[in-house]
Amino acid sequence: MKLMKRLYGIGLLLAAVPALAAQKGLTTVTGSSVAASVKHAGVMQQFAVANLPTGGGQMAADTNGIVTTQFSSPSIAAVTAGEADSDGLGSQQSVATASNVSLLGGMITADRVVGIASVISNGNKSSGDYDGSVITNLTVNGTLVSGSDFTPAPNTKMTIPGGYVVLNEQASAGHGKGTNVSVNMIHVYLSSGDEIVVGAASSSIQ
Amino acid sequence: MHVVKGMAPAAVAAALLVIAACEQPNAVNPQKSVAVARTPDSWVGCDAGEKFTGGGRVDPPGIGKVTFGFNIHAPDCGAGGIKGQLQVVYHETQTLNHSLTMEHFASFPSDQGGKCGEWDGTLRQKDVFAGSGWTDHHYFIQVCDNGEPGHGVDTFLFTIDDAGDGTHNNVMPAIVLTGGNIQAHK
Repeated sequence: MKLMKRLYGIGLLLAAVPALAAQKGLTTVTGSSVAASVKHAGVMQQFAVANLPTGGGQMAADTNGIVTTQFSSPSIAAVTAGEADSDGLGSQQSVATASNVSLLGGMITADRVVGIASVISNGNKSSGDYDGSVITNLTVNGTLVSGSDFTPAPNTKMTIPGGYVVLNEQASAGHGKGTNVSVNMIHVYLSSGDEIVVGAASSSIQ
Repeated sequence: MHVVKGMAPAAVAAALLVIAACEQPNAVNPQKSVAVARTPDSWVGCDAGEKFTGGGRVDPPGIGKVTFGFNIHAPDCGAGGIKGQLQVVYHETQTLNHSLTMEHFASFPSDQGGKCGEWDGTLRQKDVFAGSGWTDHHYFIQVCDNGEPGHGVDTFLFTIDDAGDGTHNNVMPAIVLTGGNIQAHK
């Protein structure tokens, strides 16, 4: 059952990477940032969502004063920007942030959550990374995990009452001519089927 | 201290003011920063291209985490109109900045062998912590693509006329990216 849930989560993460253009020989970039999302009783709510316009450019969104039973934050923001040139040179960055977050009534808290997914290509080779992604002053189950900036090891799993949380949940593919990278800085999976994601960023270049 | 290649004298003077301001550690608090003035005659052409994109994070001393994303395209060096958007978030103060306009643009080779773009315009700013509403301000930005990957080499400089008195008293010095990338397009 746990394996199935984990596979479902990874599936969600990969699904966060926007659909890729299938045009051969044409470099395209896609990206999206979702500062926070809550899936409760089968209903998904997303807060501060930015999806890169077709053809590139920039998109940004922010929301203040989010308060739900599962998640709260006074300020969240998302931005995604990038473009590819006709010769294949391209770059795409997505940034999802949240301040003073509280999940599940304080079971998980953090002063700052920053998720960054970045890809670049010179037309022949591409690469991606999550550098700059960080959680500041993270507490889980009332215990301070780190008292400062903290980048958890990729896919760090911690048990919480009623489920578990995955920190710095990453998915990547490619690294040849095309690369996709996605990160969820905090992803809570509950046995009820509910999920909470904070700091979700994805970028792709093909 | 350095002088960027390819800049006109007026731009050099303005850049020196910016660099002098950079030596002040706190740019968010206007009382602790040095005023910087930019004038349209500072714009020096487009030797390093007409299109830049980027996004990521910087950590200026005394300011804390700042994340950003932007794209700008200035065909014919801006004569064909300047298109793009910019978002900058100061996380310690939860200050949001969204561009309204991009008014002047220039690009030039960086002193590290890369390419820099700079532009100005107006933005809307909201300080969530302070509970302020949206206010409009003039801004100036300079980004430099000094190689790949961008973090560790590319730089981001951002100043705002907080007081609306014609001087940019909110100064973030040129800071190397902690994450993300600046891309100069051909």
